[in-house]
Amino acid sequence: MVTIRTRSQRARLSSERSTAMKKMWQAAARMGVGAGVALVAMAGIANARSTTNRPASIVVWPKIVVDTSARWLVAPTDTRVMLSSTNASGIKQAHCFYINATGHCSNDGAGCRDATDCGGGECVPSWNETDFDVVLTQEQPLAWYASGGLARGRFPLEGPFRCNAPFVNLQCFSDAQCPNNVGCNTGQSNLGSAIPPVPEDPFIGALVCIQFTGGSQSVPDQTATQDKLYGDATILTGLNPARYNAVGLEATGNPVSNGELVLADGGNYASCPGVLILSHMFDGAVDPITNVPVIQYSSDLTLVPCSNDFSTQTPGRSVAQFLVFNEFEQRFSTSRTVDCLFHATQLSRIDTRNPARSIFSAGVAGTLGGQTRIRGVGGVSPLGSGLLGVAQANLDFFGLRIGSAAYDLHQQGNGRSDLMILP
Amino acid sequence: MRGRTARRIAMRALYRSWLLGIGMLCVFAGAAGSQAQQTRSGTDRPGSILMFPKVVRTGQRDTIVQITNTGNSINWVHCFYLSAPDGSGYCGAVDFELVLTRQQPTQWRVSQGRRVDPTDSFGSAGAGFDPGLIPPVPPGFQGALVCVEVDANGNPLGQNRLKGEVTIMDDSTGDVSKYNAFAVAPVSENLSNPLALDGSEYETCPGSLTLNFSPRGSLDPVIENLGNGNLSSFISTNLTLLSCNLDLAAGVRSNGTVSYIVYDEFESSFSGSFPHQCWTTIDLGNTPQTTGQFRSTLLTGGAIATIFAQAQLTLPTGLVGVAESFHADQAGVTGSAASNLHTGGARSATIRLP
Amino acid sequence: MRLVKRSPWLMGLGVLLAGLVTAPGARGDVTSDESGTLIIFPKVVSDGVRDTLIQLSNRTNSFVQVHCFYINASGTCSLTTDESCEIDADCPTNEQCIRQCNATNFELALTAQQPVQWRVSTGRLTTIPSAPCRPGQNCQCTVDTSGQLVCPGLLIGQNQASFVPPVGSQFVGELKCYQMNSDGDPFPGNALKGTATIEDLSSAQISEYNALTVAANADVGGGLNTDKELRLNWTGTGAGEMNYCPASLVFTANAEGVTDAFTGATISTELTLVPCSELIEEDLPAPVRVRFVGYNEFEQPLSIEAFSFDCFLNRRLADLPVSGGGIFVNGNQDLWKIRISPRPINVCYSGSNRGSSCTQDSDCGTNVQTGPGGTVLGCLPASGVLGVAEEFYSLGGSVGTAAFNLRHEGSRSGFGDIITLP
Repeated sequence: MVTIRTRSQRARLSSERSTAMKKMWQAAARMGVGAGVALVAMAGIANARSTTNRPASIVVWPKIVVDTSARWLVAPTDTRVMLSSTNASGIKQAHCFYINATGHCSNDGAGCRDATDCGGGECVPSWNETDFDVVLTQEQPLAWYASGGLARGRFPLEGPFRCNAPFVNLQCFSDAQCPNNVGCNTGQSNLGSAIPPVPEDPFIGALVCIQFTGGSQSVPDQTATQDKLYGDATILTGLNPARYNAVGLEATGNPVSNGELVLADGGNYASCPGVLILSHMFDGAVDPITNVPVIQYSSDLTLVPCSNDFSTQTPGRSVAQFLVFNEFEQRFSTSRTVDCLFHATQLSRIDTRNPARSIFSAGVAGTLGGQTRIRGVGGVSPLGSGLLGVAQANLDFFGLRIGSAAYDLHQQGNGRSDLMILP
Repeated sequence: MRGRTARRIAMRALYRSWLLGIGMLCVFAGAAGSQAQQTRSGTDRPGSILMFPKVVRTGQRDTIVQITNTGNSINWVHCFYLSAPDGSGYCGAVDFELVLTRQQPTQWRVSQGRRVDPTDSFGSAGAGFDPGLIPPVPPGFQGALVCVEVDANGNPLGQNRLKGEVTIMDDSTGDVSKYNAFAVAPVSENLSNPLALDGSEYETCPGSLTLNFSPRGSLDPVIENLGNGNLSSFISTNLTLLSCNLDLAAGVRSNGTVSYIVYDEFESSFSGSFPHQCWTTIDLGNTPQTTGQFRSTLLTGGAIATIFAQAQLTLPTGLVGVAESFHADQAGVTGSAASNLHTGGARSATIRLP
Repeated sequence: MRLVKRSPWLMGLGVLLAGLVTAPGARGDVTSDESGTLIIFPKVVSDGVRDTLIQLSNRTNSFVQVHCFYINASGTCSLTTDESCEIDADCPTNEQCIRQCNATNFELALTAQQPVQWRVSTGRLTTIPSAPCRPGQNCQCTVDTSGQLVCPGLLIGQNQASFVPPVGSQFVGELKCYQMNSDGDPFPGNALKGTATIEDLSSAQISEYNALTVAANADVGGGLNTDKELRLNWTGTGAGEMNYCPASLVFTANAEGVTDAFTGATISTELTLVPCSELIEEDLPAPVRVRFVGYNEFEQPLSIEAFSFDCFLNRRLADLPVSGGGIFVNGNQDLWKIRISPRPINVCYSGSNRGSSCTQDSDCGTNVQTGPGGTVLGCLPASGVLGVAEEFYSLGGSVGTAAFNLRHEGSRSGFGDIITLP
């Protein structure tokens, strides 16, 4: 069939075609821009995760334990905390928060981690924080015991210092002590630092340190010398040391406003991981190395929320979903609420009070080794649901702890936004 | 006529004196020219780089290092212990930093190092302003110490204020040897890393070393005279050389060959060569390359018939050194004495700091 | 019929997201808390006193094939061959320490999300079918007549064949594994993660650390190829095969010999370093040149320049730089932060002058080799390093142990590192 069009019809069609072509090119361009924007955003997302390998601006120790009277554990326990600066020049200030997640038994008020510590009573959870400052000089490592802290006067570089020339033989703490107004060369020092002991014993909780700029107008550090702190913790239970790397969250360079630290892409710090992955031996698995039936593995797990509101003393809260895989690729799942801090003294107590029936038990799982994926969901707005954690593998001989080793969890993907609100 | 003659005589005298003056000038210029080709670094003046060729902690022997700031301002110093523990000539380094206040001397025993401890009591080994944390060297250490003046940021700085001495002592007998560190002065105010010891940034290193020594196996006349020798006294000499070419960052090997001519008191000469590395220590007359030329005729294969000799070492590359002689009586009781070597000529070298 | 409008913006985003679902993370780091294509266990011990339990997991929903190498790094002196050593200084004067650096390889297959574990001294057998553990019964492995373990689990392989071979009881070295495709070529799946638990056979004291993982670039044009050379030269974006190794490692440790105030134990720290580069095909150790710079809590520095080793280093701080001559020791204060940096120099990877510093390939003498992908293994940058550390708390004859991962700073650049595969 032949279609005949008039000149005006042809002109209109031509105009419509060119308009359509233009719209098509515009649409294609928008697609490309959209893809490009997404690419940049995804690149940002793919990069911004927590780390246990690199220095960072927020350092989180998920598990601090003090039990010097061995009320909870088989032997007196303390945690040696290490905080180090990798800044090549100049001081760095860390504003830190001890998070006390020690519960108290309903029957006698004693400190507890869970109901097993209460001899029939319930472990009533509680949460409070204590904050303090640590000033680190360039490249300085610092260590203290959680039970004792580090009081003023016990830091390595608090003076005395020396007067400037020509009175360099005179010791001083301030300019006023030096003659002829030559001044006191304090240089870099730990002055301004004081680390309290943890507020109770026994104690279980976490520690969070945030890198600040220091000086009179000290704010969360988003400068060119951000990400200079890293931390370690060694949990000493008798002669069973268990050391892990603290988790770091790198700064993005976006200044913090109103004391609200946004842990998300486009925020102030890297986001928390979307999924934590725990490789473990199932509870009750016979140690394959000694292969002695009475030497069996158990693991404990500590999870803390990424989000916390320190200003209103509101802890982060989320639901941890556990997906458990055994060596047959079979899958089980369970979930638990993480309210301020979640500590499972044994994995097999996560889903039941009868460990022998737990999906984390070797007899139920069916194999010795397992892999558990942990995802945090359902946070309370405006706080998020991200989780951080640390695990500890234990070897028990007839229930007596003979070996333990802490290790960091693996991570995958990015979480949604989390929030730390400073007082 | 007499007036003209007198004038001629006077002119002739003036002309001769003028020629004499020119000649004298030429002599002086020639001497000055040859002086310009000789390093002015040495062991008798302060410098910005101190080189201690011999530092030992072996058996009963230990070393005390003394460094002094001869200036009226604070001096930062970056020091390096060098050693070649496997004999391969590959020098590794352990380094530390010191701060010396004005005119401050400091010292430490290498086996103990030195801590920063303001509570050291008067009279103790650590009394005084502690210059910095100095690590101890391990047992069996044989090597060298090099210290460089730097600024507070670790960049080379030419204040030319450092002097140093070393005392090597035998803890069991109390016997001591002492020598001065070799000091290299800066020439330019613009110094950079690597340090160029080329006469324009820093002074050069020696091109030759002269050593006066008693050939190995010689009788010590003093011991013999005292009756403690019984024709069994024994003199030996240890020569230690440190290369001026030091890559302290990469620790690369430095090696070459030292040529020597030995003259005895009869003006007889003997020549040879031996290899050198980053750090070299030789018992003269007791190695395959130095057997005859550094041995007394009293020993098998010895070529030196006199009790005293001179060795001139020609260096393919800048080297500094120290000699230590050991004098033993018939009972084997040994006394030692270290001596700096005379230097001559000039060789350029490079020291690269980490 | 109503025409549904499609948003071009969302279409573009959708296309991209679909492509990025299986793409690896674009971060250019070697990590110990994420999965990767190359996985490194720097410290594997099976010496009759201690043994190691390896846990390896596939964190993806896909079937994964893995190729592994045990690298035995035991060394003996060149002339005094009955004397074990790690570095030249451990040997008598004028002798060198000759490291074996022999590689034993094997292959594994892991199903979706599957974890596996094995004891390195005995290895593990494949058994089909394999009965699972049951409640009320001991869940343990049994020892086969061949000495290898038989454990419940799904292991892909030939029945009664070694899933993982044994290394015996005279092994100190490392384990490296990489993900491969069905043709045996490296595959950028980034699926592997793992941990290692080192156990004392007499006391059951355990130390556990996370394996180090290196992500690969999945880009078809500029990413990981199949030329049997793994190039660690990727920043996380653009061209390159696998993440660069870090520019430096840093860790905080107690000074050697210091007494822990809480337990009263004497603390010793053992550092293990392995090179990022490996010449497995050529059976040559990769030369390493590193610098140690330490700062104590008083900000006082000490450093060790130009420390060299081949293939593997496992030393207490008391023995750095030489046996009995440690500098990060009690007496030089109590706490040290130590940074380990590869020296920015070139060394000969092969040839008659292997191990010597160089400026060009001709400096390496004769018999300079070429890698399977054509890279001349002559004058190349000294290898990067990775590592772990382990603390020992000693009190009255008892020893407690704890391992930890080192921190990473920066990334190497330029040539990076190379692993040649057989």
